[in-house]
Amino acid sequence: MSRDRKKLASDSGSGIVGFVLVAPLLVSVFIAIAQIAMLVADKSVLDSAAAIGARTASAADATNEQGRSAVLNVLASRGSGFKPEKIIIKQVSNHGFIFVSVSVTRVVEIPFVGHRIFMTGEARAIDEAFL
Amino acid sequence: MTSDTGNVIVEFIGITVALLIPLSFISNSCIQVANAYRSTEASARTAARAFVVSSSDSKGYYAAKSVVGVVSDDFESQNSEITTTISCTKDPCLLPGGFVTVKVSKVVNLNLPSALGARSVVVTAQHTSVVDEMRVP
Repeated sequence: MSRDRKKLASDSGSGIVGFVLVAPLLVSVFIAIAQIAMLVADKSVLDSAAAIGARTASAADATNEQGRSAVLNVLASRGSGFKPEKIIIKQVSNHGFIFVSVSVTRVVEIPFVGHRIFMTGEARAIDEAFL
Repeated sequence: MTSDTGNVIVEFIGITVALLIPLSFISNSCIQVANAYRSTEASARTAARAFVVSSSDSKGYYAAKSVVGVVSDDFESQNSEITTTISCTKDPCLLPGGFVTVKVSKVVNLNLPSALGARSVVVTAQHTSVVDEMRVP
């Protein structure tokens, strides 16, 4: 076998070629994981904001407006750009009790995909003024 | 047969099956347990508060148990059994200065293959609230 033919038959560099083929898949997986992590973090903040808003507004001497301020304070901890689309705070009846129900909605844009989704955090706390 | 051609692709598929699929099961279980923990913590806290601001012990028990159900629903945890235990340091519970402790336990059924053995975890949280010293008994 001549030297050139030996070179052509060799496997050297096949790993690099394989890596180049697999790399886009691998990068996609990592981006997907990072995206999911960011969405979970956003959802967690919305849930916490709703829970703290409900707790604040449920105190016997508190108002729904104070609950709204608490929600905005928690959201601000995620950064000044983390603003809600809407905050709904209302009294609802359940099991014969009055609960303060807080719903916080935010539009989340998913980078790379360019898709926008509505994400909502919800929480309820018993209204102590009615106990 | 001895050629290495395509070995990286085979390894990638092998890793995907052998590593990423179990990893997805494990992360899913972690999320379930974390969610259950947040749920029990919020339930216990809200139930204890509901108890200590109720007008009587019987109303307090009813309010606390109702609250646990409602708050757990907010965390979408219908797939689990919830146990609520209420204990007090005074009798009746709502005497001024008394402590009321609500303990909420939840059995989380994990979405794991049966071959892995244990498929449920018990998550417990408790919260103690004090009955107002200025409360009229």
